[in-house]
Amino acid sequence: MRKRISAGACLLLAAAWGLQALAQAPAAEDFPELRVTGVDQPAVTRGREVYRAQCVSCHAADQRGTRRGSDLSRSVLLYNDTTGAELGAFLKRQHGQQVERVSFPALTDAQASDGWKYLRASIRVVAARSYAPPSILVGDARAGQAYFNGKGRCSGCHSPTGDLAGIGARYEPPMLQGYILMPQRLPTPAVPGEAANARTLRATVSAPGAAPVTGELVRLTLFEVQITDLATGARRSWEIKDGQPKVAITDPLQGHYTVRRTLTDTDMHNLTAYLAGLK
Amino acid sequence: MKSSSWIKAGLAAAALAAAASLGQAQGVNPADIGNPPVDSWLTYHGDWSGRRFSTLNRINDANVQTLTQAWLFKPAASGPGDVVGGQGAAIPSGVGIKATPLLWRGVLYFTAQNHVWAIDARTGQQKWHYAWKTTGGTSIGNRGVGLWNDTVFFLTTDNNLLALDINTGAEKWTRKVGNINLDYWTTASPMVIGDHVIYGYGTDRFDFPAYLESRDPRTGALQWQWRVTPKPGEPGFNSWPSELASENGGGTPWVPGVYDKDQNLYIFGTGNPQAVLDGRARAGDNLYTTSIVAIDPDTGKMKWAYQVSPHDTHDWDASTTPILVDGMFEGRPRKLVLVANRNGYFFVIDRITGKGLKSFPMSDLINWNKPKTRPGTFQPEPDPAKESSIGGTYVRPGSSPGFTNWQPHSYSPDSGLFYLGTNLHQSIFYSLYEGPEPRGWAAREQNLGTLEGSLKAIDYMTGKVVWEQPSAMTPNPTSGLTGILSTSGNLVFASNGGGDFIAFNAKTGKPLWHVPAGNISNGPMTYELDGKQYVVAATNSGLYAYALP
Repeated sequence: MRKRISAGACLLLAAAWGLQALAQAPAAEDFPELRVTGVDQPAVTRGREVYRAQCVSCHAADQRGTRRGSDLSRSVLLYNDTTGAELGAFLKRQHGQQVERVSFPALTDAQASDGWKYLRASIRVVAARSYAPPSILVGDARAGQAYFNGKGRCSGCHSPTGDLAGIGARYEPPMLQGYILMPQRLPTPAVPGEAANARTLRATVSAPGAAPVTGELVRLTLFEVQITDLATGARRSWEIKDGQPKVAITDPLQGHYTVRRTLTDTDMHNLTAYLAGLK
Repeated sequence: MKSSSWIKAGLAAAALAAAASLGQAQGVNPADIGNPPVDSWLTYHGDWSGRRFSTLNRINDANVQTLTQAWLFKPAASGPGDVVGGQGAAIPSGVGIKATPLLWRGVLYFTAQNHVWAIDARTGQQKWHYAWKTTGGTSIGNRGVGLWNDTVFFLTTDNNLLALDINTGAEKWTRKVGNINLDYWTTASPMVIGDHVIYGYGTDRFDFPAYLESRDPRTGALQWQWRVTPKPGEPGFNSWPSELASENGGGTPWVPGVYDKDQNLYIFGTGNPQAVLDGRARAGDNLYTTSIVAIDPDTGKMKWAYQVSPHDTHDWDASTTPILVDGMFEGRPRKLVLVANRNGYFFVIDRITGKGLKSFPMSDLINWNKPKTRPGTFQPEPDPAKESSIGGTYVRPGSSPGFTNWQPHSYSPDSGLFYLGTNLHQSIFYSLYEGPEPRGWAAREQNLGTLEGSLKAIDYMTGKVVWEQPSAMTPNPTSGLTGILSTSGNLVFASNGGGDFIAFNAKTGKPLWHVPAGNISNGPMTYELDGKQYVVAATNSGLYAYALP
């Protein structure tokens, strides 16, 4: 049975690791800074330099390993080493496969500690949800414009020189793309010229023997309905019993709900590219 | 009975009976767990079937309108007389209740993360409280205790299985069951079958193996361990591209399973594969993740498995409890497993063979799979175009929480209906890593919110939604996920996302009673003591009991 990967079976480095390893190390500009909250950032930065100079040729810039050195993002030694002491002692011993066994007797405790902090931070970033995303703008803005004015029927409610003017500067692309499918009910910041409640759900409450009342929906359950009366601004509530009063909901954003049934991912990417360019 | 464990259980029960005759308190008889009397609730589900159906009918559709609060228990993280264990610095303060209380001899036993309470089922008065000073681990929840003779079992967030004295809460033994440094989660309610204490555990963020395992209830000794993802030479191994991918493939079984005594099968669901939202480095179906699995509880050997989400890339754990039903299917009686999954599909499985008999989508807005299911197995076929991408991929339902989730479903043999809370929400999935070897979550879900939430009553034979009640709008649609209980009183108890605890007519869905107790955070349960029926449900602020005046 194959044993689980551990740093004891990895961290392969060239025997004459010093200058040779440095020669194979990526340039600093190709090896991005790792920034994670809740860590000793100066130590992580120093540890990154230790890793870049001495480890990366076998274990890769993303710690996932190469043919010469295995995947540190799954190193049990690193996960179990909660203080850095194990890694430091380990690196001073010989490790790696038989052909290329190496050790780092000259590694100082401070360097080992920095390297450990860098690797522990890297594991968190690589394995969890917080890895830095690449740009999501992969669509064709021209095709997006055609969709906006054609199949998507967006231009029936929106204008690139009106309510959407400058929208590409107001929102990051993922937020913008999300709003195509689920716009904010209460825009922040508000779209210029738009009423504060222009996007809220409307409820029309029809009680027997009374005139229907329309307002912004506050709450609707099987047992009660609450609205803010559009005419007076007052909060009003009704108990619902035996199906009375009747409540009808309308949604100013219904167009977004309708379009999502036919919207393809390509349409979405193109539309986002178009909107992101409205700056 | 097929197994020697039942002989041992019987001997243990006989020994306890002898002990009782000598004046000692008799404990929970393991033989009662599958068919508990109405004054007991002996597993997470009440019995072994997972139906969460009670034969009690003192509270029924004719009198439920008069149901009133009998008592309220607000758990405190610490207090005088507490029994305290653990090596951590302090007693954890969070007390969110996802556990279904177990009931034995008039005492309810339930948990929050690192806490166990024993309270009087008639009055809500605390009998004892055990607090574990944890050294860490996830605090997402704990789903309760297991009972065996005079012992209470539960799992701590820092990966310990504890055995406590049922009368005092005193520790009997503690066993380590995972490695907290590898991010192992231990949140399950241990399931007791014969002389086995069974639970699953695994990781969430990191790519390490997941397990189901069994321990001896007397000593805590490990009896067997089953790894969710196969090793070379084992069935299913060829559904992975490499040994490394399988070994790091996850699949945490984090919700208690059910037990078919006649077949001697423990049937449970497994979790998502790792890396979670990016499957490029694990080509294949990735067995036995996101599967319903049947295991011999005496040996830990797998008997069959049915995968509900082949090659899952959306975190759709098979985390909903499978429900065992002996019912009609296509004109003849069958032994069935019914499962409604996070991916939006409902499955009917033959529990003798593990063969899929039928599946159907529970919404016409589901868009992650190809139009046709796999020939002969009824498994939905994932559409590779709906995996995460750099530019974003629009998927319905999203992953967290999915179309439905762990909140317990229910099946009533009286109405023949399967009840579940649903949440059709939408998400965009973004790849976060362009290299060839994604790890951990590897991609990001942008959850855009709920489109429709509801409580549904489904006829499993036809796939028809017989009745449906929408969840609250506050003002946007809320999730319809809720724990559910059905009873012979023609009642279904559930919550609505708007803070109401509601009794519905089980056959028609008409709401008959409600109380603004808050959204239910666990699976409701019921019992009868001294001729009085109680219905108990938790919110995150406390445990509420209701009874007729």
